[in-house]
Amino acid sequence: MALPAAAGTVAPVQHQLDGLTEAADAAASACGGWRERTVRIAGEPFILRFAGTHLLDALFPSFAHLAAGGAAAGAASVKVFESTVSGVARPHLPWSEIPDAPGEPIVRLDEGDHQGVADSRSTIVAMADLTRRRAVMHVPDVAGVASAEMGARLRPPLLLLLGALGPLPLHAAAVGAGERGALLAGMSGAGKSTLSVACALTGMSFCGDDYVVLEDSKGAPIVHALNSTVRLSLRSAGLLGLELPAAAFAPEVQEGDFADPKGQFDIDELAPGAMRSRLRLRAVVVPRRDGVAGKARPIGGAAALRALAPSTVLQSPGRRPYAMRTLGSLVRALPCFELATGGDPRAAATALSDLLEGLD
Amino acid sequence: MDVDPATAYRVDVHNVVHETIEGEVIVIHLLNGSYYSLGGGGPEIWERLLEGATASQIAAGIPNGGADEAEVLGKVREFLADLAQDGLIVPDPGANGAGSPSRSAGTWVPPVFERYTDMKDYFLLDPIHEVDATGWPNRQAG
Repeated sequence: MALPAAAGTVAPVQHQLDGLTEAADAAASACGGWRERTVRIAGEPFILRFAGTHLLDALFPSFAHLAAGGAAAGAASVKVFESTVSGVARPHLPWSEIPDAPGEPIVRLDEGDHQGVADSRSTIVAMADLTRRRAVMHVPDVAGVASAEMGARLRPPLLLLLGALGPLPLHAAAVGAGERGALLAGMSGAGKSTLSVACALTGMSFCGDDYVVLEDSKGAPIVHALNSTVRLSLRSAGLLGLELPAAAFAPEVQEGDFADPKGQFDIDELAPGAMRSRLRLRAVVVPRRDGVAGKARPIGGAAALRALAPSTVLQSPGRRPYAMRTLGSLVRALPCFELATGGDPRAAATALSDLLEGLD
Repeated sequence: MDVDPATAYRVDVHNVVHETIEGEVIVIHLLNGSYYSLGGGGPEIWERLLEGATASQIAAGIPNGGADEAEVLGKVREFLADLAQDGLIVPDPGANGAGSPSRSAGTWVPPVFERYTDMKDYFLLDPIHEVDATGWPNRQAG
């Protein structure tokens, strides 16, 4: 039982997490109990516990390809609950509140073994105890979260827990030609999603459009998949020749390039059979939107590191120097290329396949 | 910003991460999302800043190939000013790691300082605020 905070004081972070856990347990009781699934990510077992079948059905499908059978001794666990159906409110978490902050911020709590992330756009909050390998995630209203956002919703607590388990989450896409994988590096808007979907549509394998997990191994670098969903803009869908329902795309509130409406789709709907849970990397590829589609050129490891490192490192609280060293080792170990996608991502995908197959 | 040639500076390892690869140092500022490429003679200077060194000590130790010493010192001071202005290095009056270096052999190559703010723009658009348990606006310590 968590101790309540005295009036005028702030509950220690462990008590905040205990309170969130108690709310999750209450929500599960109100919704018929926990619904459990075991998944394995980069060799690490996770038990996902959903407070009710409705949550399981809404959130698990994009991680179903990671389902693992058998015992999961020592597994990390994630409890997920919501408020609308369960009637259980989320307890007050002072760290997650941002009154009058500009923009639409993400708040990150980084207090050693206790980590948290709150996304004001989705109003989803996740907290983790890294020592005990437990995380809790709250979704205010699962029905109110746009389907365009749903597929990746389990990612925050998984990324928090992975931070303590060795494998390094990378802000990158990954695709493959046969057994030869390429890591697609670049910040949001660089064209990773569009190119990775183009690859899947042209017969290549797909391991992730935005985040993948780098295995902690001494051998050839291997990346593992997280969610099987992709996030595409309406414009990208047009470039890819996909005829998708307009209702699947929701406008975004930010200005500029981010104003292009976005939708989220399971890769299996777009390119059946393309999903791979792991890929052995043979190259790092930096897509760029301009230039002649399909034109590739070798680049130095430093240029690849500039494309790969900033967003990954900044999203690796607690082990940013480790993340930087690891990424440095990665670009030293692999040939690096820049690939123009121009206005024809399918042509760029074909060129990427040829590039990978031509590597020694 | 002017850099006193007798003041030691040190890489602010609490707020930056860095990696040297292929004669280039990539530096990321963890608080504002800017990242940097240090080329030319920059990695040589950066290496000395990891130990805590003054501009004078650095200018006396890096390869200069017979170049004008005042010009070399001037370029080093400019480079350190860029690094300090962006918070990548901080004054460290107590440092004495550089000592009196012997000059490395080689040709003088001026340092190149390149700043990239596209991630910073992304940060401003979608900022990640790190807080302590009491919440915004209290930043976590350290």
